[in-house]
Amino acid sequence: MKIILPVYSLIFFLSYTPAIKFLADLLKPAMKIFGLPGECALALILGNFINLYAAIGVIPLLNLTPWQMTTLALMLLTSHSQIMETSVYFKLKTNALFLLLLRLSVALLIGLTLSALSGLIKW
Amino acid sequence: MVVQRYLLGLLNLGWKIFAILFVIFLILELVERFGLLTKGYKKIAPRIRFLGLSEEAVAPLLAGIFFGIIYGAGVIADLIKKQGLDKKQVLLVSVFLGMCHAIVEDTGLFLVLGANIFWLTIPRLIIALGVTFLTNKLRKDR
Repeated sequence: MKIILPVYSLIFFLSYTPAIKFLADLLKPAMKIFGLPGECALALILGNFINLYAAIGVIPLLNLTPWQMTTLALMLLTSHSQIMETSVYFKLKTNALFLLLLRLSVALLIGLTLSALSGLIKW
Repeated sequence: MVVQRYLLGLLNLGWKIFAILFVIFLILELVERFGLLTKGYKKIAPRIRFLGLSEEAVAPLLAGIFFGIIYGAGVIADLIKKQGLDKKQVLLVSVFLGMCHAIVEDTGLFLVLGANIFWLTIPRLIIALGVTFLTNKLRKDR
């Protein structure tokens, strides 16, 4: 809640300013390949740099369809809290950089795949 | 009213997160109390050999799957040391956990937001199995 509250509040406030719309428009083409609205970039960015709770603070404000929700959820579940979790991998003395790239690329692939499937599967 | 919408949204999110966290800690506590991890151990060990994972890797793997990478970091590191995993085993465990960890907490969070439980768990497990399998196959032995 320590993270959800400020994120939720900030984004709620910003949603009444042009800032979110600006960012969303900017990232719209990138998000489109995942079949997601531009605002989802916020959830992905917060989730990856901070943690899932930060992403959770934004998601209720996005008005996603169930399929978009699933896409976003699976992408975030595969790749999140990268700063914290990658440093854990460093501690475990394993190939942390490989794992970071692997998780990011698998998350990307999931987004692309689910976006491609969205037309085929009836929800 | 804007303020009303803000508070209602926050309240709605807040109590759900609280409820799910309560359930999560209850489940994790039960898992620990009844030693489910050690019981599951023997059943799982022979089944994950095709991933290139040894029997010793099961304990840190299960710890990560349930507790997650951050909360489980200490336990995972201890188990890796205690079980004497080699570099390859550590990598494979890390890859599996990178794809799929904290299945109680992380899944619960998205469940609260209305995602479907099937889509949050099964594809993740399949992806984790597939990616770990491929990493093992494609890995150059040094």
